[in-house]
Amino acid sequence: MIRLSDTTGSKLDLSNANVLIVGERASELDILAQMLMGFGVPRIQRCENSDEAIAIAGNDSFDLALVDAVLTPADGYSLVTTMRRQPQTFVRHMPIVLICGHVRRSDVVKARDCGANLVLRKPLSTQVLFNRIVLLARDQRQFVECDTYAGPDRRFQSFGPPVGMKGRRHDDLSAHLGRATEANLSQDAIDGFFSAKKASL
Amino acid sequence: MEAKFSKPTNRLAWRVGDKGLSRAEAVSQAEKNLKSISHAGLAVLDENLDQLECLFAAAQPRPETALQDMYATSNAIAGVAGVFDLANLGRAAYSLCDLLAGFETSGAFNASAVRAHLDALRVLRRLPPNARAEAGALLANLTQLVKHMEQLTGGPAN
Repeated sequence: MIRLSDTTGSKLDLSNANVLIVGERASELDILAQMLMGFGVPRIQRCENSDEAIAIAGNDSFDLALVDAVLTPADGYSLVTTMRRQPQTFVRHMPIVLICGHVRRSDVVKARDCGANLVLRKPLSTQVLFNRIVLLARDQRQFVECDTYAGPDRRFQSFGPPVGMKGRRHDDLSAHLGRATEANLSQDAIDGFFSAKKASL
Repeated sequence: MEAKFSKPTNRLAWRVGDKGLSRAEAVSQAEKNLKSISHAGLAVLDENLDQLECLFAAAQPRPETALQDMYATSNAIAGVAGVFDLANLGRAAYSLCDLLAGFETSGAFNASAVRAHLDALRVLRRLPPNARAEAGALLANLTQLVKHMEQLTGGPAN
């Protein structure tokens, strides 16, 4: 499980990173490139259409891809889905952030199911992009491949199966509490947590 | 249907830790870089605002025929304005996207509601940064307008 709070105080070393940015509008690619260069990324590959993006992704190993949802001939959602079905594992497993502007309701499901690691809403801020890259670096989700979906596990947090139900996955935790592994706290120790103490600064 | 689970190496994992740039350093440098392209960015925004006007005017007397193109242009403004300290302009453009997406779904169209958005975009582009109250009032009116249109046309865009 990863939390946004985990991104505080982290340093990010992108000094030899190779990042693919895909979007239809040159001005928006300029913004992304300037942000990434500020983060220390030396190699940024720009693509303005989905066909070119697929070809380039297959020729080089990228550490990260930022894909705009507005794209031609295939839109950004379809491009991510296509990348997740590529034969090369370095394309299939590439961390991908999908960037959306205005999203129609019908596109929300597409964004969730296309296989992107994260979906970001425009306008992007430098802080948000930095935090999300750190978040991706700490992402430990499994990669799922089935007939209808390929991409990172869409569950960021696993609370286990519903109460009273047996989980379907081998790593589902039981809601049942096990035996205590340590002795119970004494009443004095418990009271100690609540008693007011004078702070000396 | 069988699902295959795997745990590929996270190729970004080793990049986070004690080496590299702190968030403050990285963000500060990125902000400086963005400042260096703000002139060009604002020029593109103005081109897009002009483009919206042109699309609306060129499609008269049936401006609904330009709906898709207007939506795309408005979406471009919504995505960029906030980066160059014009967040309210971006919000108004987003509101126009909501409106146009609603029209697309319902098949209805109201030229006056679009006109009101285009005028608001022009005002917000030129409004000084300290005119927060005026911008807030304008945006609140646009939100109300979109809601009103949704009620008339049968719900928000799908």
